[in-house]
Amino acid sequence: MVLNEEQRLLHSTIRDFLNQRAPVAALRELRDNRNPQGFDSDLWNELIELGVSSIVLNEDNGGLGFGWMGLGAVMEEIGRHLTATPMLSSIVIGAALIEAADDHHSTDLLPDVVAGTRNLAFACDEGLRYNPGATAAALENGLLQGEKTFVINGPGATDFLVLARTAADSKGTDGLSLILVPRDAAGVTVNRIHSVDGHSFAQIKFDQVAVDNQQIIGVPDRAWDTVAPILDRATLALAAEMLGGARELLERTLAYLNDREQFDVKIGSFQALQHRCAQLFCQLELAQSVVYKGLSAIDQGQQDVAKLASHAKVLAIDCYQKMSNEAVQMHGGMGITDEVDIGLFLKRSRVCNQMLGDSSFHRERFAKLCGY
Amino acid sequence: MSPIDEFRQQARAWLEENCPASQRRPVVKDEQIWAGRDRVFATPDAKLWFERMRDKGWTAPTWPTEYGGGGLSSEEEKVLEKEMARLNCRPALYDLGLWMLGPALLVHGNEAQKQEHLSKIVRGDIRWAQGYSEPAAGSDLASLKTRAVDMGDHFLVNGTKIWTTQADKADWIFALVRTDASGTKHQGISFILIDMRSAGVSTTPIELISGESEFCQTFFDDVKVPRENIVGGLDNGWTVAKELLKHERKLMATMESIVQREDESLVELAAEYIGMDESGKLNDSNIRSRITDQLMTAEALEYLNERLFFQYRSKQVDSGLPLTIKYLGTNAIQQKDELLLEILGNHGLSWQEQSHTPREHNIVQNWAYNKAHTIAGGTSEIQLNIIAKRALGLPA
Repeated sequence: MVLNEEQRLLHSTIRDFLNQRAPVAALRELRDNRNPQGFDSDLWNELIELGVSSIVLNEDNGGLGFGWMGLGAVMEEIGRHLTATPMLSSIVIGAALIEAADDHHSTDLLPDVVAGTRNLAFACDEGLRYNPGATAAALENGLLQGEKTFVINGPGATDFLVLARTAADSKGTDGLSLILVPRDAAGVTVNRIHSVDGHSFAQIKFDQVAVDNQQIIGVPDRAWDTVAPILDRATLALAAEMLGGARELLERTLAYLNDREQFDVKIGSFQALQHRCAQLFCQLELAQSVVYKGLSAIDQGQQDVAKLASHAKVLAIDCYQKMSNEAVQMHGGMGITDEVDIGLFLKRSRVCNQMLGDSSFHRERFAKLCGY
Repeated sequence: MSPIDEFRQQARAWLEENCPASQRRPVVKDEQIWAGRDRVFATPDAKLWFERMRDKGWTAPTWPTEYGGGGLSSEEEKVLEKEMARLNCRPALYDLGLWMLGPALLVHGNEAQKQEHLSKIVRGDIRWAQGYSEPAAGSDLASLKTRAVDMGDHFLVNGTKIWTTQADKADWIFALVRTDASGTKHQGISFILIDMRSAGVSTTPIELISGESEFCQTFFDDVKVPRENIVGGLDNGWTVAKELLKHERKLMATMESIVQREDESLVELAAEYIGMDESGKLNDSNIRSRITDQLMTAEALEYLNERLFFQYRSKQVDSGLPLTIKYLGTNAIQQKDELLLEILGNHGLSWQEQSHTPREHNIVQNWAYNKAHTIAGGTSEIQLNIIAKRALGLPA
C-alpha cells in the first residue's frame, strides 16, 4: 500500500510532465475551442512515449511492470491536472478488455491501441445511470441495434466496444457480448455531448449495423465474466483520479487560507476553517487508504476486488464532492468565478460521480456483497 | 526460513501450547486482568495465562529483557500481535503503567527509576493511575495548579486531579505538578511519581452516565514525595507529558480493536432484531444504508492502519497520517454504538441488567461509556487543532 521506488519515479515523472506541458489551462483551451475529439492528440502521444499506455499490460504485450499502484499514481496526476485523455476509456478499460479476452484482437488491435493510433471507447450506459444489467442494445441476425449514451471519450474514439445483448431472453448481465464496432461503420451516428466539466462524451446510435463473428471480443454471450473484473479495476483507477483532484483542491485551498487576510489576520488562523480542513484531510486519507488497498489487491493477484472497488468509489465520491464544495466556499467570491480553477474541479467531481456507477449503485452492490 | 518467519512459527507454537482455551474468547470487562498489589483473577486459567506471559516477558514484548520485558523488535511485536489475534488470545495484562508510563520511562527515566519501576510493571505487581487533568485544567492541561513545593529532600504536594482512572484501586500515580509558577504555563511543570499509600492522598469515585464509576477525583493534602521521584528533570514535565500523550492517543485508537473484539456485528444484530426480506435485504432501508456508512468507515480505518504499517516498514511515513487515527477511530466507535442502540429498539434502553438480556444491557452501557472516547486523551476538537497546525500547516 506504499509506492516502491520505480513507482515513485514514475509518479514524479508524470507530475513534472503535466505541470509543464498540461496544467489545468490545457483543459480550458480544449473547452473554449470546442475541440471536436475532446483531447489533445499531441499531448496523448507524448504521454504514450512516457509509457502510460503499457503500465498494466502483461509483459508479453509489452507491459512495463509498474502494476496498479503505479497506474494509480498516474491517475492521481491526471486528476490533479484535470487532464483530458483517452487513458481511462482506451487503456484502462479498452486495452485491458482486449487483453483479458485473449483472442485474435490481442494481435490485430491491441498494439495499435497501445501505440495510440487507434482509440477505444467502451459503450455501456443507456439510461440516466450506469446499469449494465439493464442493457437493451441487442445483436440479432448479425445486426446491432441500440443507443448508448455518456460514452466516455466517445467523440475521440476510432472504435467502440459495445456491450450488447446477444442471447435471446437473457436478463441482467447474463447473455451479453462485447462487440467491436468501427466508428465509420454504416449505421453508426455519433453525437458529441458537451459535459459540464469540459471533457467529452458521446451519444451513439447503432442502427442496423452489420456485425460478423470476428467482431465479437472474447466469449459470445459471456462477456460479463470478462468485463466485470476489468470494470472493477477501472473503478479503482477512476477513484484514484478523483482523489488526485480532491488532494489538489485541499492543497490549493490551504494555500489560499495561508494567503488571504481579513480582520488583519490570515483567514487560515480561524478555527472554524481549520477544523473543516482537518476533517477534509481525515476523510481524504481514509478514502485514499481504500483506493490503495484495492490497487494493491489487484497487484497481489487477489481475484475478488469487487467489494473494494465499490467501497473506494463511494468514499471517493463523498470525498471529492465535499472537498469541492468546501473549496468553493473557502475561496469565497473567487470560488464562484470561472477565472479560478476551483470550479473546474467542482464540475469534474460530479461527472466522475456518474462514471462507472454512482454512489447508490455502489452502496447497493457493497451491501449485497456483504450479505445484508 | 527468514528469522521473522522462524519467530512467527515459534510464537505460534508457544501460544498454542500456553494459552488456555478459556483465554481464547473475547474478554468481558469482569475478566480483564488488571495489575496491582491486590490483583485478583476471575479464574485459575486467567492466573495461569498471566503468569506464563509475564515469565516470558510478553506482557511488555518490546521492553528490554533486563527490565523483565520480552526484548522483541517492533517487527516481532507486530507478528506476536497478529498471532495472538489469530488465536483470539486475551491481553494478559491491563495497566496504564504498561501502556503509558513504561514507554515514557524508557525514554526519560534515569537508570534508578527504570530499575525501580519497569520490572514491577511488566510483572503486573503495581497498578498505575494517571494524574493529569484537574477540575480547571482539561483541554488546557498546562494551566494545571496542583503544587509541589521543594522542601529539600522531598516535595510537598497539594491540589487535586480528576479523571484518574480507577485511582481507588491504584497503587501508584504518575502526575503533572507545578514546581515553578514564575514562567509561562508550559514551563515549571514537573512529572512526578506518587505512592498512593502516602499520607494525605484520598480518592472519590465519580459516577458516569453509563452507571459505572471508572474515574475518580484524587486529592493531595500535604503529601510528602521523595525528591528522586521526579522523572525527566525538575520543571521538564511537559516534555515527558507529550511523550505519554502520544501513547495515550495511540491507546485510545487501539481501543477500537479491543472494543471490536468484545462487541457486536451490526449485520448480525440487525438481521436478528430487524429481520431480512426474502431477497436477503434488511427490512429497514434507513438502518441498512447507515450500516453501509459504518462498515465503510470501519473497514477503511483498518486499511488506513495497514497503510501506516507499510509506511513505517518502508520508512516513508506521511507525518500527518498518524494524527488522523484518534479522531477517526473514536468517531467510528460512537457511530457504531448509535446504530447498535437503534437496532435494539426499545430494548436499547436498559438501565438494570435484570430487565433485559446481558447483551442488550452491555450495548447500552457501552454506548454511554464510549462517549468518553472523543473527550479523553485529547478531545476531538484538540485533535483537529493539531491536524490543522501540524499536518496542514495552518497558522496559529
